[in-house]
This record gives sequence, structure tokens and C-alpha cells, in this order.
Amino acid sequence: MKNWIRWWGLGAFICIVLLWWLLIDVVIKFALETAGTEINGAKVELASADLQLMNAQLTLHQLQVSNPNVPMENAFESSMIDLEFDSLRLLRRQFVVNRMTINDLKINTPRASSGAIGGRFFSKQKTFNSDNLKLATAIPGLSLPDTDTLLAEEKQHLQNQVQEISKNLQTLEDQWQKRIDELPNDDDFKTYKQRWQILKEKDWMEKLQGIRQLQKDIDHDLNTISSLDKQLKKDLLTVQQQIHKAQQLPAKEADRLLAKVGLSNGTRAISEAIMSGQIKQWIQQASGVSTLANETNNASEPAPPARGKGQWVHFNETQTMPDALIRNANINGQLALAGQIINFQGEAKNLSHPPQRWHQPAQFNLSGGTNKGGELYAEGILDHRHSVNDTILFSVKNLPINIIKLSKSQTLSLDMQGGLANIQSNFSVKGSRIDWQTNSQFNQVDLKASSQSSSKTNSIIIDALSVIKDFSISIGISGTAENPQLSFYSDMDKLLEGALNNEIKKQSAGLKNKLQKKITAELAPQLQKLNEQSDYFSSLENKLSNKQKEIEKFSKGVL
Amino acid sequence: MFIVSLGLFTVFAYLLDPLSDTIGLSLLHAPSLQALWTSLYNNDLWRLLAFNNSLVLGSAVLALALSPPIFWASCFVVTRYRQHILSWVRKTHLATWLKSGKLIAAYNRLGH
Repeated sequence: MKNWIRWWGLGAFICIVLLWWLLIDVVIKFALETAGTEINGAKVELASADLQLMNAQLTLHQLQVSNPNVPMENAFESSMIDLEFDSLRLLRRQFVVNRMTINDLKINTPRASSGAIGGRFFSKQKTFNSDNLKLATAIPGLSLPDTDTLLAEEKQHLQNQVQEISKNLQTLEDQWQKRIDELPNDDDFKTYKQRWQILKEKDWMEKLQGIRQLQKDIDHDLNTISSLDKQLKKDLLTVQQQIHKAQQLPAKEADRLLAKVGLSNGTRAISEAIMSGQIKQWIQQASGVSTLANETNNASEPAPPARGKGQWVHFNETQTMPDALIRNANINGQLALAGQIINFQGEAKNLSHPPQRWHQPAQFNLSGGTNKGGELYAEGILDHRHSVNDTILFSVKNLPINIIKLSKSQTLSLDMQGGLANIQSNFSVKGSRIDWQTNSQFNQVDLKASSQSSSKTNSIIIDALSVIKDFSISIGISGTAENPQLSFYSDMDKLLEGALNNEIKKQSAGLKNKLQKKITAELAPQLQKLNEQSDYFSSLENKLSNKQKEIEKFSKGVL
Repeated sequence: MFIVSLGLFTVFAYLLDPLSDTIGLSLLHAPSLQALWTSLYNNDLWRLLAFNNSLVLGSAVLALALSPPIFWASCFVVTRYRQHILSWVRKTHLATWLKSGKLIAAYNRLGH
């Protein structure tokens, strides 16, 4: 203990400082990759980091942030990010960047290897579930079914239909048979004659009363016949309706069977079905960027502290500061859209974490264009200070299209080669509710469709698509992130529907004719029986008329 | 000794985490201490010491509170150990082997 300085200790201290100086860049790189991957839920990679304590400057080279929803793509990457931070704030464990420059920012770029971290200890669930989106995925078919098979399946149903009509007619027939049986017959006439003979021998008083009663009974019979005549007219109408129904049955059933095999309608969502795969991919790409923005500005309650970490308690400050703050960021980069490279520049302000401890919301604006004249503009406010309240506007004007892949499906691939695009997109999140509406107008387009399938439908759609020059697409998403509701509209459908409907009409007319003939043949015996049933009702009219004449004649003859 | 103690007391502190955390939180949320914490919070040095972390404050207070009894208990135990057990320990094979080792010799040289 005689030496004031222990030289071995000083040597060890110098070694530690030297090691820190040599390794700090590697430590920062590792720390950023680990923390970034944890926040993002997919790989965050950094080529190198360069810390200069004297200038309080940190430079990050080749940062790649994977899209957690599309692991083979980077949500964004940047060749160089310069950060000028407040070194005194580091003493307060606050990372405050006064000025940041993001150079050569690229969005949605392909990755050489997957950025997924599935199975790793902090792999995250997707916050936006695009699998829940209800999209039409099947293009309606035009293959004609076999009529014999179709009829065999429906034979019982057809027979039931005819039997029901027959049963109705039989019920009516039974009712009428009963009524006819109750009408005056020869025995009744004999009884009337006997009553008249007896009355002839009575005195004039009884005779008068008896004649009145007899007249009354005969009038009652005539009235009964008259009311039956009215009822018959009504029932004849019912019979005619039933017979007409039976006659129309083959045609009606042919229509029903055509509808059953999908040849009547249902061609409205063709463009949605063609583009469903690509729509999902666009939504996943966009949700990857927005999810990342939400993660870095998350306003939700902090997670319970892990053991050994403790809880940070904050008090009033002269100037309240968040743990991390980027006051001002200048951004320049490139956005690949429609096969064109759009050069853009802009700025972002007040990116803070946690956002509740900073008095201003995060906001950004970007603008740019292509050499060929297209314009890009985007702006947004991400306010997570109290509850989530984000609004983002994105617009593209007169962007010359090099290529847009609208469908990569083997069933029907569709490329837009050439044309002009105008896209307007509004995205907002209020609380847990998402509203996202994108309206796109494409003009002077050149659509190239191809299919490995030789189906008639596909060839009709391909022909119809080749003549489309202008069309619009509107995609809307609303609801919560867990249960989003999709709305899709394209005026392309009208043209495709028209082309398909012509073919459907042509094919279904032939099929209907064939079906109708077969149904008529199938039901011929039962229809014949129905005709015979209807003949009975025709004969009833004569029966009633004859009976009425008979009673009137009797009445005149006797009285 | 330092490295051994660091490892030992890290495990010990981990076991006492819930207690330290509770003490730290109750102190940081104590209404009568808010003025003190606020003034410390606005000082760079105290922020660097991370006093506003419940575990840091709780552990420090718990350590300070326990140090006098542990000091007196240690003195008592060490004195008794030296009087009654040390001579026996020195004669054990383990102690003989350790004393003859290069590690202890190097440590003794560094200490002088």
C-alpha cells in the first residue's frame, strides 16, 4: 500500500478505454440491430456504425429494415444516415437528435435473404392481419355442364313440382265432385212433384202456403247453382293458372338450373379476382411501413417491467423531453413505383419515443418526381400523444407507367405496360379504427394479359383486357387491424362483364333450349295427366248449366 | 475477491429485486419527496446515476439500511472465525493447496 498509483491497475484501465474506443462502433451496430429487430419484428441490419464523440455525431452505413409482413423485402433501406445528437442529454439517458440526414432512402426494396425472425425469442405477431380481408379469388367459369347429369340430379325436384300442381287440382276436383253430388237430382224432382200433387188436394189457404214453400226450395236450388257458377269461374281461373304454371315449368326450371351452375350472373368481381394476390401484397407492403411508424410512435401503455430492469419514474422537467427524439430529419431517396424511379426529398419532424412526453406530434412531408414528368407528394401527421390519431396523404400525378404487375397468377397474369397513373390515397387511424381509401386512375394504358390455362373464360377476359385503354381502381379498407373490411371497385369490371355476358348468353341459350326439351319430355306423362284434370273443370260448366235449365224447366212445368 | 463478490451479490440482488423495486417505487411516489426528486431529476449528475429507476433507488436504500447491521454482524463473525476456526482451516488440504497455487501468489504480489 506504499505506492500511490498501482501501475497494473492503470494499465488495465487504459486497456479497457482502448478496447472501448476500438469496439464502440461494433457495440453500437450490435445494439441497434438487436433493439431495431425487437421493435420491428423482422431483421434490422447495419453494415457499420461510426461514432464521433467530439462532434457528437453518429453515422450509420447501409441500414436495412425488413418488412415483417413481406420478409423478402425491406420496408426501407438507406445508404447513409447522419445523426447530430445532443451529447449532454446522453447524461440524462436521453437520445436527442438535433439534425438527422437520411440519404438514399429506398422503400420496399427486394432482399437477398429473408428478414423473417420466426421462432426467435422476440418474433412478433403481425399487427395488421391482411389474411382476414375478404377478396374474390375465383374467376367465374364458362364450362357447360352435362344436361343428363344435371337432370338426373334434379329429377325428383321436377317431379315434386308437377305433383304439387296435380295435388292442388285434385283437391279442387274433389271439392267440386262433392258440390255436384249435393245438387238436386231425379229423386229430388220426384219429391217436388209429390209435394205438388198433395198440395193440389188441399184447401186454398194450405195450397198457397205449400206453393210458397215449394217455390222457395226451388229458388234455393237455383241460387245454389248460381253461386256455384260464380265459384266455378274463380276456380277455373285457378286451374288455368296452375296449368299455365305447369306449362311454364320446363322453361322456368331450365333457368333455375342455369343459375345453379353459375351461368346467369356473378361476373361482377372479375377484376378483384384477377388482382386479388397483388392487392394483398400491396396492402401488406403498405401495412409494413405503417406498422413500423406506429411501433416507433406507440402510444400504448408501457409493458410491465422485466425482472432486474426496474421502472423509470419521470418528474417535471424544465423542458420535458422523451427518451428519444429526432427534432428534424432531412430525407432524400428513391421510390420505385410502376417501374419508374421517383426521386424525392422532404423532411420529418418531432419523431419521439414515448410520444406522450413531447409536446408536438410527428409529421413529415415528401415531394418528388421522375425525369419524365410524374409527380409524387406525401404528407402525414402521426399524433400518438394522447390516443392514436394519424393522417397520411399520398398522391401521384401523371406518372408515366413503365410496368405494373397487376397479377402474377398462373391462371391469368396481367401487366400494365405504358400509360399514365394518377393515384390519390388517404390513410387515417383514429384509436383502433383504420380508414384507408385509394383511388387510382389509369389512362392510355397498354394491358398485357396471358394465361397458361386454355379456358374459354380466360381467352375472353384476355381479349377484353387488350382493348381497355382507361380504367380506375378504388380500394378501401376500414375497421380494425384485426378485422379489416375491404371494398374494391374497378370500372374494368363493366367491360369484362359485358364481354363475358355475351358469351354466357350465347352458351346458356343453347343449354336452356336443350334443358327445356329434356324437362318437357321427362314430365310429359304428368303434364298429360294435368291436362286431363283440367278437362274435368271444363265439363263442370256444362253440368251446372244443364242442371240449372233442368230445375227452371221443372219449375215452369210444375208451378 | 472483487469478481467473486460481484458475481455473488448480483445473484443476491436478483433475488431481492421485488423487494428493492417495491421500496424504490414507494420512495419515488412518496408525496413528501416529490420536490426532492424533481430537483434531482433536473440535475445531469443525478440523472446519470439513474436515481429515478425504482430498482436503482430501492437497491441503494436497502443496501444502506442493511450495511450497519451487516457490518457489526460481519465483525462479530470474522472475529469468532479467526479465534476458533481459522487455525483449523489453514491446516486443511484445500487451504494448503490454494496457498501453494500460482494464482494466490500472483494476487499477493499485486497487493504489495
